[in-house]
Amino acid sequence: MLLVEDDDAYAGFLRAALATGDEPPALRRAVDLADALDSVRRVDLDAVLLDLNLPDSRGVDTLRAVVAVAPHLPVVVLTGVSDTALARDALQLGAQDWVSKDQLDPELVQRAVRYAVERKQLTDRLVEAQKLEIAGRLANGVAHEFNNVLTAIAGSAHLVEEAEDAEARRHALDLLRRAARQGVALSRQLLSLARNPPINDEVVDLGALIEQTRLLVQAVLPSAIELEVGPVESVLVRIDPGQFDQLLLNLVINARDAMPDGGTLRISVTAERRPPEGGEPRGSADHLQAIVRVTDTGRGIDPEIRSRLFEPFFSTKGPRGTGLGLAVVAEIVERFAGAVEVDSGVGRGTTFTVRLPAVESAGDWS
Amino acid sequence: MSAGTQRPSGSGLGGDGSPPRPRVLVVDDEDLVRLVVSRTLRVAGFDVFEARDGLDALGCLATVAPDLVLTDFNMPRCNGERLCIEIRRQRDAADVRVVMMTGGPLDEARMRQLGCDAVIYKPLPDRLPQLLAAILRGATPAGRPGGSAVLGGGDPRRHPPAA
Repeated sequence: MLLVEDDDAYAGFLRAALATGDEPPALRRAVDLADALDSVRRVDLDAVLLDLNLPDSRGVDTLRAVVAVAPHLPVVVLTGVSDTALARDALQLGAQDWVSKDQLDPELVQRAVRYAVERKQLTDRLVEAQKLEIAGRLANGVAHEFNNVLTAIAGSAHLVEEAEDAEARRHALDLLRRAARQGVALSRQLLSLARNPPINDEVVDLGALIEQTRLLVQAVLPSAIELEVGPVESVLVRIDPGQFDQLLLNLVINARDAMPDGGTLRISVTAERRPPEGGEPRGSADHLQAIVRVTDTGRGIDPEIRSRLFEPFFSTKGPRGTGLGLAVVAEIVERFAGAVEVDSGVGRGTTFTVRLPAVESAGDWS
Repeated sequence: MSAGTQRPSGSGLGGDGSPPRPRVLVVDDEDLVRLVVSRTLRVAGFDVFEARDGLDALGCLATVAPDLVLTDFNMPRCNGERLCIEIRRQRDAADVRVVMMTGGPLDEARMRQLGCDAVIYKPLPDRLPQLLAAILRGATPAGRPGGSAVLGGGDPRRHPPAA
């Protein structure tokens, strides 16, 4: 566990508080953000206790810096006396909990840390378990895709055998190679979805990732639904590609189920520079965001249930739905320090918008 | 419309001065499958035309006037089932055979009801040209070679022998 606190007295109290618990954690201490980020990068941590006001960083920017480096690490924020607005902002940015500095109760600190770690582990398991659901839904479509690839492979191999001249043989071999490449792309997609934790965050071009996922997306769609992909801009984000596939497929399956009679499903990826919004501290700079939109032309979502959409086990699909899809979307988006919004009207369809913090250049995080 | 008008190459069903080559419209949204299947059939001596989906196929049906439509089931815009229904609305079974390809399970009884002559499962058998020739002749192919299953076969009176 990492304790980031520049005040020696308060750090001493926290150290003592945690040491008296049932399972006292091994505690490292950092006194500024640079020191903290260094530990977060190098050491395998279970949780971070983070003072937001440090010599080299103040307010939620401190949290944002930690989350950007380690989006999956449970963070308990230490706030000044009765600074509830700051605490609320911190929770929105992905902190698991907060402890106010006037709460000098050792048990409360222990509990906050324990719950933060447990909550993180639970949601990890939820996201893992839901992969099975996705895999089940994919199986049928993927079998179709593989049979197409096999048809092209077997057919072009036969053409090679039957070729009457070098030109015909070369042409058939070219078809054979293209088919094999398509098969490779498909299996790579499946593997990225099946990848187990530890989560592998990488800086990836989201536009390119969406293009690669197209095969899987097509696989879950029936023929009555037309897939339109675009516009697709190139934008770098730091994510786990397998988890992003899971996120996208959940949104796609949701859109598909909203269009039982067919329709159009559109996916776009754009880069937008957004000014700070309400809830964010004044003075934070414009930040580049990757925006993924999944739009359907389905029946739309009733206003009454819109607030419950991301609740686990809430489903309108009866026995067909587990109610995990959108809950997992929300969870994964939170891990990547992003946000998800829904815009829907009964009869005019639904758009899910996922905003992820973009990386300005691949060198930013290396 | 993307109906190809390439002449077939190689030898096969239609020799020099022999009866006209059977005209086949291959419908599949998967480019590679369509390319490979079309080429296979051309090499075997069919006159092959191509369409990307059901709508595309319907658009060129009148001009191509195929003896047989070999169509994928799962396609955007207009799938194989709707294509089959529309073909049967326009032309009866004596005019054109419809063969459905699929990469997954399919309700064969329903396909038969819609006027589909046969269902072939992907990956397609190497004997595809012979199977199509048999269907055109109206014969019921024996057995289920190469992982394929063919139903229907049809009534020999409905269609004159192709060769």
